[in-house]
Formats: sequence, C-alpha cells, structure tokens
Amino acid sequence: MKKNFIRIIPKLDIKNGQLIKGINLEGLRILGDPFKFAQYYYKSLADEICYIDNVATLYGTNNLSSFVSRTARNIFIPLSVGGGIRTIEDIERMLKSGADKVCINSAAVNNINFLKKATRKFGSSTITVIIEYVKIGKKYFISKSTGRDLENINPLDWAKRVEDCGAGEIFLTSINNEGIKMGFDTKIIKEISKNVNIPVIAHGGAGNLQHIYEVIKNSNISGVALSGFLHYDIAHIFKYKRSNIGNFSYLENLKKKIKPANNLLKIKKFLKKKGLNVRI
Amino acid sequence: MLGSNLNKIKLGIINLKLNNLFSIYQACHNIGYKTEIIDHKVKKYNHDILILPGVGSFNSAMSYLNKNGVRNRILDFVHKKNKILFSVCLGMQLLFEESAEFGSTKGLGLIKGKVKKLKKQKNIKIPHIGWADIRINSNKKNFINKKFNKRKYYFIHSYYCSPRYENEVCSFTSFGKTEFCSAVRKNNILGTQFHPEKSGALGLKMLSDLKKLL
Repeated sequence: MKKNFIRIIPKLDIKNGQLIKGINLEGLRILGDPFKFAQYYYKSLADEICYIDNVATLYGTNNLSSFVSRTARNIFIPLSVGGGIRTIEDIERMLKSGADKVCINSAAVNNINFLKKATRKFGSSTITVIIEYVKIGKKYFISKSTGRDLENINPLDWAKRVEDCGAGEIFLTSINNEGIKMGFDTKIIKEISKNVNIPVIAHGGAGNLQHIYEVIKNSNISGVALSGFLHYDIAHIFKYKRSNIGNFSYLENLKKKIKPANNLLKIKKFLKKKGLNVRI
Repeated sequence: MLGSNLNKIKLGIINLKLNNLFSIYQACHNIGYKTEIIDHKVKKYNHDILILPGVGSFNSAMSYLNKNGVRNRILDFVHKKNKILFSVCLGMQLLFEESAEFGSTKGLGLIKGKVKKLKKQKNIKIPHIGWADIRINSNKKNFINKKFNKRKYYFIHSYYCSPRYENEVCSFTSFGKTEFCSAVRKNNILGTQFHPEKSGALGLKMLSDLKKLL
C-alpha cells in the first residue's frame, strides 16, 4: 500500500518571547529562544514550523508578528502561526509578517461566522483550525484558550463543522496525552482523520519513535506535530536570556551533556524504513 | 553576462494584494537578486525577471489584473526577449486560458490549457498540502535541472493546471491517482505549482538558477 506523504512539524509554544513546554498544557517551563530552535529544525529538515502564542487569548494580546518576520526572513519552509487571532486584521497582519497559514481556535468556537469569513477571504488552505480536546470520565470536550476553558462540544462533531465552514486543515491536540510521552490518542485521531476530507495533523503524546509510527499507521493523518519530544533534547545547545518572569529552573538545572536522541532526521529515517512517505 | 552578477539582475514581484509576499521577497532577496515588490502604480516593467506569485483565489486575482492594467503590462513584458516571467502556484494557474474555480473564470491565456479542481479520492485529503516528488519531463526547453528529479517540493493547492501540449510540461507530480503538471514552460514564460520559496535549499537553488536563463 502506498502511504500518503507525512509532514513532521515542530510545534513551538511561545510565552513572552520564550519557548515554553508544559504537561497537559500546564506547568510551563522555559526552554529558550524560539527562533534558535526554529532555525535548528529548519536545518534538520522540518517540513513546516508551527508557532503558537500560548497566552495570547488569555491576555487578549498577540505579539508574535515580530517573531514571525524574523523567522520568515531566515527559514524557507512553511510557517503556521496561531494564538490570539480574533479578527480579519489579525490574520492579515500575520500573513504580512510572513506566516503562510494562520491557526484559529477560540475565535472560531466563540463565533463560527468568523471562521467562514476568514476562509472565504483568505482561502481554505490559509486557515488551520486548532482543536484541543480533553476527556473527562467518558465524555469529550473541546477547549479554548490553550486548555483553560472547556466547551460542551464533541471533538468529532466540531471537526466536521469546521470542515463545512471552509477550514483547510485541522491541528488536533489531545490535552490528556500532551506532555506525557505515553503515545498518541490514536482512537480519536483515527476517528476524526477518517471522517473529514481535509488534512489532520496529530499532536500530543509522542514519547518514542514507535508512538509516531503507530499513530500514522492507524489513522489517516497528514502529519505529526512534535514539541517536547524535540525541544528537550536540544535545549542545552543554545544560550538563553533571562527574563523577569517565568520558570527557568529546567534550564538552570540542565546537564550539559545530553545527546540529542530524537532529532528530526532520525525520526524520518525510522519512518522511511517502515515504508512511510517522508522527506529526507 | 548578467548571470554572474546577481545584484544587477532586477527582479520584480507583482503585488496582487491577495496574500503573503514576504516569503517570496525574502527568498529572492537572500539569493541576491535586486528585488522589489511592484504595485499597480508601476506603469512599465523594466525588470529582468518578473514574478507572478500566488496564494488566493483565481477570480479575485484576475479581476485585479484586468482592472488595474497589470494584465497588459505582463503581456508587454513577455514579448521582450531575454526576460523571464516566473509564476508560482496560483500565479502559474493564471497563465492558462480558464479555471474551474468558482464556476469558470478566464485567465491570461499565455499557455493553452485549463485549470481543474483536484478530484476527490478515497483517503486522499484536499487541499493538497505537503511535500511531493516532481518527475522531470523530457522536454528540450526544461528549466529544471535534472538533478532535481524525484526530489520533494512544497505544494498547497486545490486546483491544478492541465496544459494542452505535453511539450510545455517541465515536471509531473502524483496526487493519489491523478498525475498533474507541476511545472510548465513556454518560451520565456515559466511556472511551478509548488512553492520554491517554501521548499528549503532545493527551492532556493531553483530560484537562483533562473539567472542562467537570461
């Protein structure tokens, strides 16, 4: 069987100009300058870079555009950007700064017409919808504001709805699995990727190479987004700048001699050996 | 020759007012071309290379080209020898006679053929977003170096070009069972369905190779 092409996408969560990583989207640690990470990933054959401003909706801001420009000046692969996108002007500003795709979550949940308007104006392929969902007991909810607010909407129903409204792609995060490194939530990823006709990117839970292979094999996704799985391994390479706020303890206690184990090329070679279509 | 001195080569990017010009500008600028973005107020294109970029919808792009007289300036430009029109993604589609996007819209008609919608296929997602191989067509006037054969470039599109003459096709790409034209050339008119400015080092090389055609 000829498998469809799979994109491997480093996802960089940003707060106050620093790359951060949490567990279940909480307990954020600072890992360093996101631009340096992005550059490193570009050189090691990332298929795309995704920047998300994690606190933009919470604080009602979006400050990513200068980061986006700096990145787009130096990195010649697609760049997706999200976090705090609320208006058509926000999207325009991101595109002008050098983003290729803009990711929307809260604003689409709050007002589905915004999504329709955005996809009509900029074209489906420019608009990605982020779906972050959480399982509580036996019930599934979607969430806004990077896991802070829950909405009583089933993730599959929501995926179909955003497809109908013109979304070009779905970026799917399982909050339960995110940061735990115990594997992806294959059940829901499979269900959603087989029931929509637009590309689905799976995120949340990669702990080893086999996890990545399994989720691709058992679903119909177009790509995998990785954050902690990649970031932790290379955090020691770069010098970091202190700022007044944020949790620096991870970087301060970092051992100097971590050997990067999970670099992108190694992941891709592994997947290729398993017969998948990746770019090397 | 111009080819040896990149910063003497004037490259203009047509601003269709539709989308992100940042990436294509940065790519051409970083390569070393004397790059500028040109809007509808520029009445004459005295550039060596003209870029017709593209993300957005076919009919809004065409109505911009028709309304602002940009269409005629492009037609004048390609009549001159030793000039290159290079078009990307939607830009390449605009070269053709008509597109099925939003019913049917007439294009620039510089290359014979039509723009069609990618067919729905089982387990294949549309838009086509991602990296895909290009298979180089044996075509005497091919502008793509043979060493790029079967290498991956970045695509993001829902429509594809179907040229009438196969000898104008420079490369093919597979999308499920569909095989479409991913690069085209007719004389000094060139186009790629993929985005060289988003295809890493291989894409930048393709853009910098344009100088050899002048």
